[in-house]
Amino acid sequence: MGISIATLAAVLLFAAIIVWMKSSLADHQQPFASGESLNREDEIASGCPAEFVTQIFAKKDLEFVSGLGSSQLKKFFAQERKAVALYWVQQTSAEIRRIMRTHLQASSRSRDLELATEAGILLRYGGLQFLCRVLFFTITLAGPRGLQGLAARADALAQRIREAQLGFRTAKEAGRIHGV
Amino acid sequence: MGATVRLVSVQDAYDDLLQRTLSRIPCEFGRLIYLASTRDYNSGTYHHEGLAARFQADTARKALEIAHRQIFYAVSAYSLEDLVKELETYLQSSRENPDGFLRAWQKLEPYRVAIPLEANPTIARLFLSNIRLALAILRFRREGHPTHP
Repeated sequence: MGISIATLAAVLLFAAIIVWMKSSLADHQQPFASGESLNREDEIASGCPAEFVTQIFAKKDLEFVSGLGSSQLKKFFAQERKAVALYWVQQTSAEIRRIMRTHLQASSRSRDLELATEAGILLRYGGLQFLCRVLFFTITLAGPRGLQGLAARADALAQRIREAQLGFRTAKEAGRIHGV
Repeated sequence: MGATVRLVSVQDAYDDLLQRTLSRIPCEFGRLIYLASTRDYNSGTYHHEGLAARFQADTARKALEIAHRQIFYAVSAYSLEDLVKELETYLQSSRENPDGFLRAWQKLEPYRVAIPLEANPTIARLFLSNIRLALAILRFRREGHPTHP
């Protein structure tokens, strides 16, 4: 009676997003997450530091190798950097997937969920997975050259999700200590 | 109080390790290989006789582990050009035959043991990749044409 149609629609939309995310997270057929990356999930503590992400996609090393005047070395460099860049994308995607799975499990048990915060996290997650797919296919086709900006954007988004999850966990632990 | 004493003690052991041992090694890459060699292959625990005698074995182990991790991240952050220089210095300090050294390192990849146990997997990948590239560059410079496995 007191609930407006708009509020009801928002709640339904939010529920639909949750269901979609859960099915997405439960999907084990990950097109660009290797078995190795998943097996080593426990080793991933807080993602790859930004300076290393910059290094993977930076031009400096390519310029150095190009200056050596060997097409074979240049080709070898391209292969190596492509493999490392793809690995980083896989790791980031798998790590954030794991964080979101944990977050959804925790939030489904929580009684004081903030709708706006949760929607923000889910949107960032969707955005990051989209960026990871774009990066994966572009790197596969053309290598990591010129993708520094996109990689930095994906890295920043992943960092925001890690921070949001950390904030959520801290708040939950504080609530538990204070008996809330 | 106990934790503070322990931290100070680890810091002392770390400083001692830097001053007495690591400062005598001519390059950062050499320090990395040395620190990795203080780790037991089977258990993954670190041991240094002299450091354990001056401090407690556990304190020495912690100092070695911290030093290994720090130097690993420092070397992994090197540009390819700087890594080639480091590797060249290490090669010279080893007094091995350069061609034999490069061939063995490209085939056996002994540098894999230089990765700390809890290293970030992407950084570990980048490190291995950069070493492979640096070895190929050194070999190219020696032979005048690129050779890599």
